[in-house]
Amino acid sequence: MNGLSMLPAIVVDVVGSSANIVFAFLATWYAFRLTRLKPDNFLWGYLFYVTLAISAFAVSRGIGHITREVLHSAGKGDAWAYIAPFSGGFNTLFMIAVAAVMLFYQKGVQSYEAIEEEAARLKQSELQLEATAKKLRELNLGLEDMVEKRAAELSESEKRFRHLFSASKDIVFFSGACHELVEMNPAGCEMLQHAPSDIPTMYLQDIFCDQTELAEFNARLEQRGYLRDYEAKFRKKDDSVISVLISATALHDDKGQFAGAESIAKDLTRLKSMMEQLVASEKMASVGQMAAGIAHEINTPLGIILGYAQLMMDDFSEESDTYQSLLVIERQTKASRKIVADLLKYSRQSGSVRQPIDLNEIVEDASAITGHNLALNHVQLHKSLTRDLPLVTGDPEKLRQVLVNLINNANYAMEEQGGGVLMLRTLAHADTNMVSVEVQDSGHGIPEPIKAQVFDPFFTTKPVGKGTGLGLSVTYGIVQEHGGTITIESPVREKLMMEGYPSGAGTLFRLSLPLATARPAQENDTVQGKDAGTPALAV
Amino acid sequence: MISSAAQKWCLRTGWLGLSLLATFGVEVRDALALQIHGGPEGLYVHQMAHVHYFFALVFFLWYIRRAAFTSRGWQFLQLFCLLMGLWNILAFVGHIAATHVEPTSLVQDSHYLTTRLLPPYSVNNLVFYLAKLDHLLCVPALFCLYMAIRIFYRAAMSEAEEKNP
Repeated sequence: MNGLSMLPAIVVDVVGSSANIVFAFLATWYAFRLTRLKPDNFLWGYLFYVTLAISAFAVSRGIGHITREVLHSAGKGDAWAYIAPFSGGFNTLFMIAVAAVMLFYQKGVQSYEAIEEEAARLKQSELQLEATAKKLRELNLGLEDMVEKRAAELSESEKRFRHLFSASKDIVFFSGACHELVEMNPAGCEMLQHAPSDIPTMYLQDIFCDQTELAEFNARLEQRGYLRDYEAKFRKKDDSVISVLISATALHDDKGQFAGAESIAKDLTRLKSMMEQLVASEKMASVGQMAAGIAHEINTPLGIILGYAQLMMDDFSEESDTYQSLLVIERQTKASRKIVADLLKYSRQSGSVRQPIDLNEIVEDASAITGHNLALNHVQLHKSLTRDLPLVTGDPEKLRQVLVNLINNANYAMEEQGGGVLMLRTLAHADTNMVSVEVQDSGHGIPEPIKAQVFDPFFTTKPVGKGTGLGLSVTYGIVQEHGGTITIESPVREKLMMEGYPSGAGTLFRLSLPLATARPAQENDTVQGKDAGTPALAV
Repeated sequence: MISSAAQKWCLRTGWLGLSLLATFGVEVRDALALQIHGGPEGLYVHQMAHVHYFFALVFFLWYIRRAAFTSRGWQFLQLFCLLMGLWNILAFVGHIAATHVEPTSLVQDSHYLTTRLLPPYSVNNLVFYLAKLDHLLCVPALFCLYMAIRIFYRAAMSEAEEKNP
């Protein structure tokens, strides 16, 4: 026995082939479980296919080798010769498959790396996006806080300015580039009697009374950019006029073009009225003094003329021409003396008696005196007298004269229109300790321009010879003497309407006198001459 | 330093060259007008497959090393590539050697299992004998593959358990 036995090679072949199959299958099994564990991992998937190919190769080769050894051992070499090409073919095929799968690794990894890179880039982008979103959220939160804070400040500021705008008692208004009204505060709307909803449809020319003033207002505003203490007249909705003092500032847009104005107008009507009253009061005081002097100087010669005229009348028969002439002299002298007496009353140079008076009684007396004339002129008289009216202190005769004067004036005012309604009203004002008498007619009213003149001495609207123009002057003087006030309302807000009687704008004279207790005065207190109280006149 | 493109070129050219050598270097015969596909063609294809497999393993090994995978699993995988590459060389050479073994060098006394390789022991015959023991290379190679995959699996399992205890 020489030579190398082939038995070890045969044993190794059979055992090795079996071991190959076992290890290959085990590797495939673990690779398969890996793919199940991490299905999205390319590498494990790839290794699974490698091990699968190797298993196929190991099975093909192992079974082939074992079959060969078995057949040869069994003396079936011919059979193996028949099978061998198939076995070799499969071996070759699976070996190429294994090699092919392995070579695929590069491309697979490249693709995987590319995908991974893209995924990483996407993930990075996602992270960046997330970071940016987080930053944006933070910014947004901060911004929200900032906006909220700023909005609160703005709201507070807006509230303050809105309150200033709304609560202002002056007229505050905004106008646009075409002089259209944009907004006006409630006080302004109330003063001009417009509804707030009307304002946006109006223009400055609708509230400016004088268009020349408006043109000057606009020109100055556009030229200087502001306007201070500009006097103008505004027209109310009912066409009445108020005097205002305007301060305004022009508004400009980004290009510097005139875009409108913000203006504040202060109502000067009351101030002007007071000024006019003051002027009138001063004027009447000086006129009164002058009238008193004149009356005093004229009264004496008139007395002498009257005395001599009456003496001479005794010397002539009543049928003689001389007597008739003397009669004329006497009558005219008496008329002159009456004027002088009125002047003295106006200037309070005449004597006066003070005593507690019930104004209701005075009203009744005056209405009784004038009742006949009123009826003749188709004037319906109404009285609204407050019961238990507090007493006032004064001269009943003079106050009676005052009321008669006022009733006569009312009668005259309604004469032209063929009658009307006259209301006499007495009222007590506990809050001001005053008692007032109102004489209201439904006549034509007093035109605005002459309203301030009605109390002037010798001012009259009656034809020559019908009035002296001293009636209201004397009334004014008497009221002043009693420490009261007299006011005129014309046209009257609450008009007197009665079927069958004509109705005009109407006039209301309101005579207010202090209560007897408010201004104590001794009974039968006689005041001679100067003011007994502060004179007041409101027209 | 050889560039990546140059390395690829070398690998492809080497693979082609060895395939050609396997095809034409084994045996040269007369070229006939009508080719009859006898036994040798199967061997040539098989040899080419070995060369193909070898270069695939080399490439795979190179790629694993290039990727700098350092865990034990990858080390086993590298070892698998190395051993399997050596087995390919041995098998390739063994197939050539087998074609040159004289039929008289192998004798049987009574049974296939008693087959012996008779002296004199030429290099070819010794290579043939050694190549018959090729499982001593490929079984450890597949064991390494099994170990590598198992290590990968266990590592992945541990990782999964850590994530979802």
